[in-house]
Amino acid sequence: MPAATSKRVKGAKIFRHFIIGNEAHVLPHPGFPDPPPEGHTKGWKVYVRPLPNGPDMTTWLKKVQFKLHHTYADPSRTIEAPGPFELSETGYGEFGVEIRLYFAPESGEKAIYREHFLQLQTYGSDEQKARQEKENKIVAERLETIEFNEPTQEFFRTLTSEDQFNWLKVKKGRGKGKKPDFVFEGDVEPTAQLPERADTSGGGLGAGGAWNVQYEKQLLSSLEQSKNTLEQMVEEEKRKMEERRKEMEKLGMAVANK
Amino acid sequence: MTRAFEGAFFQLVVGAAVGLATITISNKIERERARRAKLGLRGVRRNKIRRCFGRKAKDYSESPPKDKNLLVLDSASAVEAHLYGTCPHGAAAATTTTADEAAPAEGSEVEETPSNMQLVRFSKYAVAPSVPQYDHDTFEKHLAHAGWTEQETDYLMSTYSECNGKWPVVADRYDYPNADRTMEDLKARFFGVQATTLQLSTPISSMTASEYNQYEVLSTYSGAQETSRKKLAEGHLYRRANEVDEETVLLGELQRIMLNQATLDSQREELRHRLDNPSPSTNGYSYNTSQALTGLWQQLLTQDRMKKNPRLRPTSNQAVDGMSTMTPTSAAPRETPRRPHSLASATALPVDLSKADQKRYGVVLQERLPTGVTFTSDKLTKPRIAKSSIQTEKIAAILQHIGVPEVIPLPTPAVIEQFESIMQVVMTILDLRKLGEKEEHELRVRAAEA
Repeated sequence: MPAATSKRVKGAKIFRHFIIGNEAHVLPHPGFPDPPPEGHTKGWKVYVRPLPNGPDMTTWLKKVQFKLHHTYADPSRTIEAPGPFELSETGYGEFGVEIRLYFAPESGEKAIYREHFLQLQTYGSDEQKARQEKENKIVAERLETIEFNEPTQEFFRTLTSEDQFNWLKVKKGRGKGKKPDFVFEGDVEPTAQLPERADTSGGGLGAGGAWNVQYEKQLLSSLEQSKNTLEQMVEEEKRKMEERRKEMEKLGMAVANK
Repeated sequence: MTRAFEGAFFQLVVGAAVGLATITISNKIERERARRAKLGLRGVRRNKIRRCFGRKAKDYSESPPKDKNLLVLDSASAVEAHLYGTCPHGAAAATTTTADEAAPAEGSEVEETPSNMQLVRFSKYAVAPSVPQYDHDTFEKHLAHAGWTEQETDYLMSTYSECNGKWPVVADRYDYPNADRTMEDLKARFFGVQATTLQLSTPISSMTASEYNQYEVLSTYSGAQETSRKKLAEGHLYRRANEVDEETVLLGELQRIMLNQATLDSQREELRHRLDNPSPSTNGYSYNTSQALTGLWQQLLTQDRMKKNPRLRPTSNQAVDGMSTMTPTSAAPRETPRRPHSLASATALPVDLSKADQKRYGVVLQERLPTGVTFTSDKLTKPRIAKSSIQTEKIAAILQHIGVPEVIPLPTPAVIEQFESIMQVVMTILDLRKLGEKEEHELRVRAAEA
């Protein structure tokens, strides 16, 4: 039995997108203790979330441990599946939260650390800052893509089963003793790929709707621009080099003539 | 029975109207306003009716107010009545009844003065087209174009705003000396300018999604493509009947071919499989000496030994068989089969997945994978860190200078590829600079010598 499970699928990898991030509010804010603990000015929530229309996260993620700053009482907090893998706290300072991801036992993979730097201050352009202040909501998150390289046979099976999309579906009973039917009633067929465009049903940062192919395109063209600037810099360096070469020749002639 | 029911219904309606009226006219000021509005309304309605039927309505004692705005509105509704044509008797009658009975109730709804009403009604049509703004310096720096002078570009912008952004009109009116421009030329130039100014006002990285969409549409406009599209559409419009028939037949044919494509492909694949023999590196004539034949036999024998169940039995003759310890590499290497093994067939998946399902579950087939779990975002952070901290700082400075954010929040393959190409150039620059420093130093030494 163990031999069969530990056999790996060669030449295949499976990736999953997910979100690591945090929300922060200036206290007092609903959902946080009022009055807040002494000295605490911000309420925040750090989270590990799936994409809105993606496969179920708990297929591979069984436990998340958030390791907070050591000044917190009981700094390492663990949340087991089914989650949600979220942790609310109050505080006043920013620090790096160590997030330890524990995988499904059949994967045979060890737990892995990721770090998220807690963002409590407003950030970005002035407009963004103004909006964050107005809404009293700061969201700082990033998309992570985890790759399971050459997963074990069993893990491969669970990662490619239709059940992963059940959490997005409506359960339709089929009478006593029968398995319930799961029916998908959304507009866009769920997939592990990045969604084509923004989720219009209240997406945006925090809900995960901000991550889509359109945004990717935008990011790419902005990087392309950066690259063009860079190429200009290379040209400049080359020109300088040419100048130096000429100078060198001139000096060489001068030395030779002496 | 029906009649009685109708009567009851009518009473009900009237009762409701009266009730509504009582509520509305509870306030005195409110009442006064309602009366005025009612008068205005009546005036309009009466005029409308008069124009429709060409006779004077006598049942109103008060004359309609002679307001200028109202008159405009009046004629507008007359035009409307005219446009909507027939102006049936019944409709007119219905209008009169409502005006008579429900006017007090309606009065509160029609609180807008006539001029306000007109503004609200037509203001949405008073739209000035937005024309990109730029000054001379910006033009020189960003908008210079080989085929367009600044004067002509200015002329294009002014024509565009004059013609209210209607391209056919712009193309028709466009009359610049020594310039023969098609509508597509004009559009391409205009959109190009617009995209550039848009990007100058908001850099791509801080555009909102809708702004970026607009920018993308503007910057990807291709005049040539548009011309060919129009030509195609025109051709499509003026086809003859026999051409349409021919097209239908051809489409049918194409569909048939596409349907059979899959079976044909699989048959061909099978055939290729059958034909796939190890191809000799030379032609068969090279084996016409006994020595060559012995070589061949040894070669085949060594190959056969590598297999699980050898089919060739070695002869007892050592000289012919060659040394049994002969390593397979010493024999002439067998040419690998020409048919490229597709990766999908090489990798045995425990679950049979179609291409679409592979995509849906995020399965990627790839050779030479690292083991265990990896995060793609590492590929966006690790290259930034060099062995020495000075070098790391230099890299960070360059990346910051060219506007690459410290955290790239979307580690997709395309983004990673782009980032890696950027990093490559960064490394080139660093090398160039290092070399530059060395040369500078040498130059100084030489200058001191000279």
